[in-house]
Amino acid sequence: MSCPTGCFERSRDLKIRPLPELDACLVYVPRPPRLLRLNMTAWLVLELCDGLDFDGLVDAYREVAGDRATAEQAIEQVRQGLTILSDARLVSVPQPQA
Amino acid sequence: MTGARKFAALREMLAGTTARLEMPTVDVVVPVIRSGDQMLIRQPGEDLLTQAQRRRLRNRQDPSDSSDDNDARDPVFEPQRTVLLGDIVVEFGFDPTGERDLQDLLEDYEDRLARGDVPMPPGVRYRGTYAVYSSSEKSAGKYRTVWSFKGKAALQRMMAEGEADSRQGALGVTEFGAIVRRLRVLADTRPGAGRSQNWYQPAWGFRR
Repeated sequence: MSCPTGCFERSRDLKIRPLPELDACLVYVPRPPRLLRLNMTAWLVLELCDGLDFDGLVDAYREVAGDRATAEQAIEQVRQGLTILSDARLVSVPQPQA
Repeated sequence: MTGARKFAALREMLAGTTARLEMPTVDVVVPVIRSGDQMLIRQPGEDLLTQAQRRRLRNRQDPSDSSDDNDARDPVFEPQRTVLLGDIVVEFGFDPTGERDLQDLLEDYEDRLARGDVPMPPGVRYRGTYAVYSSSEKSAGKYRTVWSFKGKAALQRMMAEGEADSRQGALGVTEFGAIVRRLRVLADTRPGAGRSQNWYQPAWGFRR
């Protein structure tokens, strides 16, 4: 599977509220108005989407996840996270390079 | 610098677990609107029955005290042995604001409602308030009050009874409306209090 290219950015105007008792967070998306629940892994990928490219995201993810994810797991979790976050329009998807 | 320092709450959560991270998930949160002291009106569902089958279904139902029912779909009614409470059955679960107040209300009014001493809207019947002594639903309330309705018009009449009307008595409601209001007030609406509403229709021929 190819890796996405370009830099990933969180969508604007998201309101993120931690739910520590559930190991999750709530994200309010104003347009269209929706309330989403992200588990810790999705939340971590979302927070890291701050202008990093895929490789940078994986490095940052591994730095935070530490022993809780192997290198292979980190790649797969970041890839999966970007897919579902972009489907939910929480992160902008970079255009594929020619 | 990864920028990770900025999300301290998440880092704190991660620090509290040594388990492997799960695959990421995003779920839409569906709001659940709790009714407070209001009964939400829900339109009854459709059925798949023929007219003859509906007649058989009605003959399975307790005819209640009411002879007037705007929703009557079949003028032929021959009460036989009945097993069903009505076209629509509503079960309200609640924790009382005061156990003693609830007991007093039931002691004063339950048999009067049962005997028909308190005029009720046509098609509406009080089916009792029950203490839950065992349930798998832990947040549905310690008590259940059950009502049956002969059709949705009876449901609307029940709602209207609870509303203030200057044509009625000093409190602006009928005696029945006052009892309904009192029951509502006795239901604890504070966060964490048990509360539930369940709406039923006869299963035979019910179309989802």
